[in-house]
Amino acid sequence: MENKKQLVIIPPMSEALRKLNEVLDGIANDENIEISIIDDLKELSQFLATTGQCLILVSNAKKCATFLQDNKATLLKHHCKTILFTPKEIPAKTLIKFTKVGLTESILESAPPKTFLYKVKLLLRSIKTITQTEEKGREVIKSSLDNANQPKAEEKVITQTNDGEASEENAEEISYKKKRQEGEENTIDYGANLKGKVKPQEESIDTHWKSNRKKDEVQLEESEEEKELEDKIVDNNIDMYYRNKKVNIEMELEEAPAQLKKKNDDDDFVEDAPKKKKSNDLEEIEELLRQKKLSNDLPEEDDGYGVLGDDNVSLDLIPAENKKKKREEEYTEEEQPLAKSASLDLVSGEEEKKRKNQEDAVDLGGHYKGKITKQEELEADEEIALEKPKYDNTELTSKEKSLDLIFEEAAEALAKKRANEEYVESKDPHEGEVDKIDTNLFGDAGTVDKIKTRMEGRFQKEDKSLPSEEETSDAESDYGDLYDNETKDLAKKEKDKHDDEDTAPKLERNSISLDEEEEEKELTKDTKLKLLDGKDNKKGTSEEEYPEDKEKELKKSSNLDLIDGDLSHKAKNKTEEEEDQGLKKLDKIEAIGDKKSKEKNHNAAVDKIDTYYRGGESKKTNHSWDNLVDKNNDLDLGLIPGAKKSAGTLGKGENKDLGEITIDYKKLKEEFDAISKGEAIQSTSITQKNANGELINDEDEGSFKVIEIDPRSIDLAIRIQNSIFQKDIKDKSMYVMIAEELMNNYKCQCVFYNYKTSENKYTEVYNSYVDAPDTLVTIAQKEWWNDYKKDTTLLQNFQSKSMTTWRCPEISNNGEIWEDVELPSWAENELKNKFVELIFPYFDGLDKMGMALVFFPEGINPAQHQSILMTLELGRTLYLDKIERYQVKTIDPRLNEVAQNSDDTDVQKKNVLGFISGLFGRKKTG
Amino acid sequence: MEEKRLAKVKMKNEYDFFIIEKTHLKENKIFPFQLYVFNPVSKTYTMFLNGNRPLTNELNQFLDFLLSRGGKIAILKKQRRTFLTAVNVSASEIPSLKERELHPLEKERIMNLKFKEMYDEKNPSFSLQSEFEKACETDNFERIIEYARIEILTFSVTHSATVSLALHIAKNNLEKDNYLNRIVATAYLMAKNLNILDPDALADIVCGAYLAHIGLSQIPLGIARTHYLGLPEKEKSLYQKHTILGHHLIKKSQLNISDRCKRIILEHHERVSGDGYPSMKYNESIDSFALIIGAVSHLFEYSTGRITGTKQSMKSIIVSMKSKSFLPGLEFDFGDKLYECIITLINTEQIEEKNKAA
Repeated sequence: MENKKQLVIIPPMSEALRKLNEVLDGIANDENIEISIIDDLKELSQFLATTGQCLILVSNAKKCATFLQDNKATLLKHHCKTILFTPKEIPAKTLIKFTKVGLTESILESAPPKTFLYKVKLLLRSIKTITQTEEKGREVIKSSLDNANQPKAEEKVITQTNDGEASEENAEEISYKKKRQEGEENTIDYGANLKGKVKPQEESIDTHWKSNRKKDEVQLEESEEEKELEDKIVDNNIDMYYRNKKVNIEMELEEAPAQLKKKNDDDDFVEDAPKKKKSNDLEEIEELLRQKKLSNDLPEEDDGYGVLGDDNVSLDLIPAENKKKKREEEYTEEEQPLAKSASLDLVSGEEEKKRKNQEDAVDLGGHYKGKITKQEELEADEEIALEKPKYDNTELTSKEKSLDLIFEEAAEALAKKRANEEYVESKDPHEGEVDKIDTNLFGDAGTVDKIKTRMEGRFQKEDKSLPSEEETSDAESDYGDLYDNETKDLAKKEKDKHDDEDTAPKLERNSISLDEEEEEKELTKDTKLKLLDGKDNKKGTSEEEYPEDKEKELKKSSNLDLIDGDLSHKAKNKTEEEEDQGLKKLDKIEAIGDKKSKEKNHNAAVDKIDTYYRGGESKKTNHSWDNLVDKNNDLDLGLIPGAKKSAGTLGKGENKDLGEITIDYKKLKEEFDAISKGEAIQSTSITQKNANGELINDEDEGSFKVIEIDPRSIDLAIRIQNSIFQKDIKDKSMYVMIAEELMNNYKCQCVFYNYKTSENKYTEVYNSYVDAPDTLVTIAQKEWWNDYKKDTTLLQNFQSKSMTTWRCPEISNNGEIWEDVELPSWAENELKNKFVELIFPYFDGLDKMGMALVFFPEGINPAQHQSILMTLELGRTLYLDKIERYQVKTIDPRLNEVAQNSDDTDVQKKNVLGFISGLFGRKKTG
Repeated sequence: MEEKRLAKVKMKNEYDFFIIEKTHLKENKIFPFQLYVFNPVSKTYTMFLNGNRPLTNELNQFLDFLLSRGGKIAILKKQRRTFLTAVNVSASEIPSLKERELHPLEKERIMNLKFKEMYDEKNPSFSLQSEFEKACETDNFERIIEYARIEILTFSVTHSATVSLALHIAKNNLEKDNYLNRIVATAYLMAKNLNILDPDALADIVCGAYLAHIGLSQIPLGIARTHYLGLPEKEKSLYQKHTILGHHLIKKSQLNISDRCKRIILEHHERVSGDGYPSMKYNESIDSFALIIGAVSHLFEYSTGRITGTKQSMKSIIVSMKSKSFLPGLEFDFGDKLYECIITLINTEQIEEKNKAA
């Protein structure tokens, strides 16, 4: 396993997969992929065992199924991803079965090729290669997990300030610098599209969350009312669910590029989710969950340390004491909840406890906990500055220790879950499900394929009582979310609003017209919301986007740190929050305003999306593989920058412009790009060819030239074939066919001789001078032949030839005869106007079968020499038939008659056949 | 069973357009006519700008790029007048609008296109399945052959040598209801059923179907005419050489024909299971067109007794194929898609029901 990512394609490949393969081939080097096509399943399983994690593409469902079943364990072990390309949508049940045995994704072949490539790339990015992690490890981790670990760093710094006061200033300074740097790095990391917008986003998102929390608090206080409210929210959640679906699509299409870098490591985590969803048993899932947590948190921790070691050099400078303390903290993790609760208690008594419980539950959802607590506590900290270290500690531990906490928390959460389940069910039987699906969608946003979500969506619509598989499948990510409906509903609501708006432009881009309202919104908020939503979604999508969240947090905290002193940055933070809250409120107001209408519309909208992807709208638009290549170009090659840029931008904008008619500029561009490269050569070669051989009609405009072909006696070949198929056609008539072809097209006369080995004698089988109709042979020619055939020495000389030879009396005037030489070729220009005698002997190996003597009284057109040869070659079947060893001795004696009939003229053959039949007859009688 | 309708794609051809220079557009940004771009390599026209849409700077740059790559701006001939008045140019200034002497083949094609239109009007629906069934019942494939012929005759004479060759062969040969023509017409229509619409591909099918058995002219007539299962092993292997010999003959003749077509000739007896000849190729390694032609010719070979020595009705063959009953010499390893296509050529349900009842 070099540092290449393994991609396996299992043939047979469908058209789509083949194209994808081609595209992937093209980008294999740039993307660092090694593509292997393995047909044999056994070989594949061996391959899997040796290569470890890889991505497998299959387009044959049957093969996929057998492969998955056979290699279920290996696949699970290595976290291999499998994508199945299907021409038709797989029925839900089948898909579930597939996912059970390890299918990661099923993609419709009708889906836009862009999606294929995106999915493949996404999954590929999630594939770890040993060397990559080893060699690039530091860097990769830096970019990807930096953010995730940033809070830790921050916390560490802060713990240092508390614990080691001596080094406080230094540490802080260093951490500030560090954060500044990292902050910069992070903004760069986001990629060009997010550049510059990162900051406001982060802030707004952070405050966005915060505001939710605040609301939640309020809601918790008014518990009874809140329940009612919640019911409404839950109802809305159903709607939101649909929107989330859109979000997912959106997510995949838009957010990904920026994220992909960061996802690198974390993707694994997310990717695992669908795989692990398979078990039905709830307990099993719990187990799985724990295992997963274990397995995933561990590396994260390691990574974190890697980052600390590598990136946050400043921290290494921190006195060893602090480090020790940190370690101690980790070891005494169990104490941490206490510390946390202590800090929380400071804020508000019982409610806070409740909330804490929820948070604990949230813990299972991953990074939520840290964030939420952080945000809450940041608010709380406004009053109590001293708390900050504690808070930081909790956050630090909440992340770092999660490994150990899991068991406790999971157990805790489970207990609560059960309790809550009852509660939830008593309220609304569907509530939990909605949430489940919601969270599921969030959890998998990046990776859950559209098909699946759609299917789930349909389930949701049609059948409120979800199939157990689905329920359990979602359980994983549900634990947390099930219990903090209150806390999250609002957040989701908001997200959903944004999402809805966000998908709107997307839809429109897909030339599905949306309501004007949405368009307006889109206009007003499009850019901002998109980014915002993206972030929100990422938050929602759990671990996958976890680094980014962290990053945001980090950013925020770095902001905080940049302003000297705790209070001041709190103050700043507060103002920021307020601003953002304002913004959010605005958003919310708008969103809520729209929501009513949207609630009416969104189902329809969803349907639209649904039908768009399922039905064929997507097919209708010109999905071209060229786009992909173009995209690749965009990604890697950087061909003609100016042109590409224009093409690229046009591609996007154009759909809007043109409404119902979609012009695929990218395709166009690709076509013409190709012209400059390979195909230009092709075109020139065509013209060269034309100049060489074919008669080309030079038209004006140069756009279209009629291509005239030289059929090279193909028509005769077809007639000969037909005569072979028609058993009643006699040899003679086939000779006639050939002779007439020669006479008509090449203005020549011909005599066919058959050679009988037994008699060592040539016999005439067809003579055009004698047998041809008078229209083709003049009397003068006949007379000439009568004279000519008297020259037996010449004929004998011809008969001795073993190669195609010619004789031209004008050239060999002195009686000189070319002996078995073809040079100068008989098709030389020299012979164009001279009388030429062509000798074409028929040999089968060393066996002489006969010859054709062709006379060209008007010369040979050198351009036609191939056709003449072809014509003469077509007579070979007749000559071969005369060879004794080729006499057909059919297994079925009946059919000897057929063979007999086919050649009445050949006495020798008859004799042989007679002999054979006699033998048979005798045997029978005997 | 659903009846597949042959896809009737009415594509704009070169006679629908005229080429203009960019200068003819002057400095206008909005045009009341559609702009097309002609790709000199694929010889296709793609719409570039719909009518009354602004030619933005970006689009303009892009257009320049396309033109720099050899593209040409084309306008629909039916928008000729709109164009001339909009840009205030006289027809004489546009060289491509000048009347030119059409090549005889072009004239012929235009006639054929018209004829095809008329034919389609007369015979609005043509379904290979129903026609094939009828043809098998009556042992008369004239209608199928005629339909294929009329369609093939509309092939462009300017596309490629293989297309021109297909046109030439069809014009000269695809007329009589004979064995080879049956194979050609059925293979052609089946390819269209399989959604193969590219003229090059269809031309490959036509030429390939015609020339696939050209190698039979290079083996003894007696063997070529004897049913395959009746041949002793040695002769069988000699018979099998017709693929290689045909391929060789075509190569030797230097006939200007696509490589794919040559491959069809070589591989038309290959089967996805790897049981075929000459190279015992396997699955995807076999050209799919070779499989199509192999499958169709196998059907006809089997039904005419060229394999077993006894004639058999097409229906019974398809029923056997469908049930995958291993009749001697019957092959069905043509790949899933093609197999599906073949077993649905005739509605065999009735027969099967009868058989069951019996």
